[in-house]
Parts: sequence; structure tokens; C-alpha cells
Amino acid sequence: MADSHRNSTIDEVTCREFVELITDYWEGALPGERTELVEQHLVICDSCKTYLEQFEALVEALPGAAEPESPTREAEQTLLAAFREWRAGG
Amino acid sequence: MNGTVVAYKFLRSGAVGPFSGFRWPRPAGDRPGEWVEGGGTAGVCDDGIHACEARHLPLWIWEELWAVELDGPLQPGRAKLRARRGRLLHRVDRWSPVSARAFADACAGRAEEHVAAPGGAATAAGMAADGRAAAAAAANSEDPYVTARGAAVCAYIAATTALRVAGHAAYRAERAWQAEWLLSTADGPESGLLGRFQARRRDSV
Repeated sequence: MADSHRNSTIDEVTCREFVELITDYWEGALPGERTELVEQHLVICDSCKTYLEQFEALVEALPGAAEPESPTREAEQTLLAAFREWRAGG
Repeated sequence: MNGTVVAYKFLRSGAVGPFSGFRWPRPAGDRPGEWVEGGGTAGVCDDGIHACEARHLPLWIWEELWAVELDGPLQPGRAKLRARRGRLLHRVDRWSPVSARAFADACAGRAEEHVAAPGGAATAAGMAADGRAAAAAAANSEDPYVTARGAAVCAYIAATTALRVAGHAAYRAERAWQAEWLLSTADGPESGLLGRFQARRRDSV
């Protein structure tokens, strides 16, 4: 769907706006009404659907990208020791 | 608002949620599908079960149209309804690739009418042609996704053509006309359950 069909006076999401919102949409961080507008856009726009699918595939292909990595046991002990030292000093 | 409400839900082929990817439990015979809890079921949106009123049907077109029963506190959104849980009651069989093609064609015709209005050609040049091309793509495809998408795109083009030519009131009128068209398909004598333009509220339970 070409952006030339869009009109800024009606509350429809443009392709350009979708690209800006995709991370928040994917993380579920958009307010409800904004989510509706994004999803309405996805109903009619194959290009943005493809973009979203590629984005999801990219995230899934990056090991550990979706979940924060747990610290190693050694790093955990180092951090705890530093914390205890900081508390003792405080 | 509490109680149960019968509303609409467009789904992908196989009763799959278009955004969640969740495969809804389908009715078996006369029995509705199993209740699905929002946020408590893997793959379902965390904030609840979503459906829409008839007037918002043109915004959510996909391959399958279902009557869905919503239960629990009902929160109306801008263009959809959200509830704690929901279940599929029955599929609206009259929404099919055949009706999707007819709807796409009707919307493409409406876009052409808007462009033909005084001042239309100058402000919406090319839009009606795009709509006619999308309707032709829907007409020439046996893929339900392509026909449904063609219907959604033609509806969008007709609405935005009306907006360009005649303003917001024309946009809203066009979307209302589309909802009426879809409802005349969905609310046929065999569907039985669906109210016109508003989700039908049942007695509170």
C-alpha cells in the first residue's frame, strides 16, 4: 500500500509510522489504541506484514536476544562480593 | 459492563488469530467452542480476548468471520471490544471468497464513483485504479487470503478516496456503508444470532 494513499488527518497508521512503532508493538509496549491502529494497518498492508515477519525472524535467529542472559556463577559471586563490600562501607 | 455479548471476530483460515497466531477451539455440532481466557492461555493476548462490533467489521477483514461470545468485564476500545474470556459460537459461512470478491468489486466501484465526483479526479487520481486492480486480483485468485486481503484493501481505498474527495464525514459514511454490506452478508437468515451494528448484549450471568 503506497503511502500516497494516506491522509494525516485521519487516524490511520502509515507505513513509515509502522516502522517506527514496530519494536514497541512487538514488545507489547504500545497503548491499546495505538496497537489497534497498527493492527488495522497490518490488515491492509502486505509490505508491513512482511517487514514484521522479517523482524520476528531476525529476533528469533539471534541467540539470547529475546531473553536477558543470566550471569555466570563467577560473575554473580563477583557482583555479590562488590555489593557486600559497598554495604559494609556504607 | 458485565455479562455476555455476542460480537464478531475475523480470523485467518483454520480459525487462527491473525495477530496472535492462536488456533481457536472450534464449535462441535451445536456446542460452542471452549472458552478461551485472555492472558491465561498460551498464545493469546495478555490483555484479554478481542472482537468487534458490526460497525468495525471493515477494519478487520480476514478469511473467516465468526460469531464470538465474550464474557466478563467488557472494555470497548476505539475499534474493538476486549473481554476476560471468549468462545466461538459459529462461523458465518456466508463470508467466503465469493462474497469477499463481491465486496471488493463493490468497494472498487464506490471508489470510482468518488473519483468521478466534482473535484475527485484531481485529489484522488490513481486511487480508484488501484482499487480496481486489487478487486481484479481478488477476482482472479482461488487463495482465500488473497481474496480477503483484496476485500480489505478495496474497502480501505474506497474509504480513503471518500476522505480525499469529500472529507471526514464521507470517510465515516463509506465505512458505515461497508459495515452495512458486510452485515447484510453476515446477518443472513441462517446466521440467526447477530444483531445489527451493535454487539448484542445477552442477559447478565
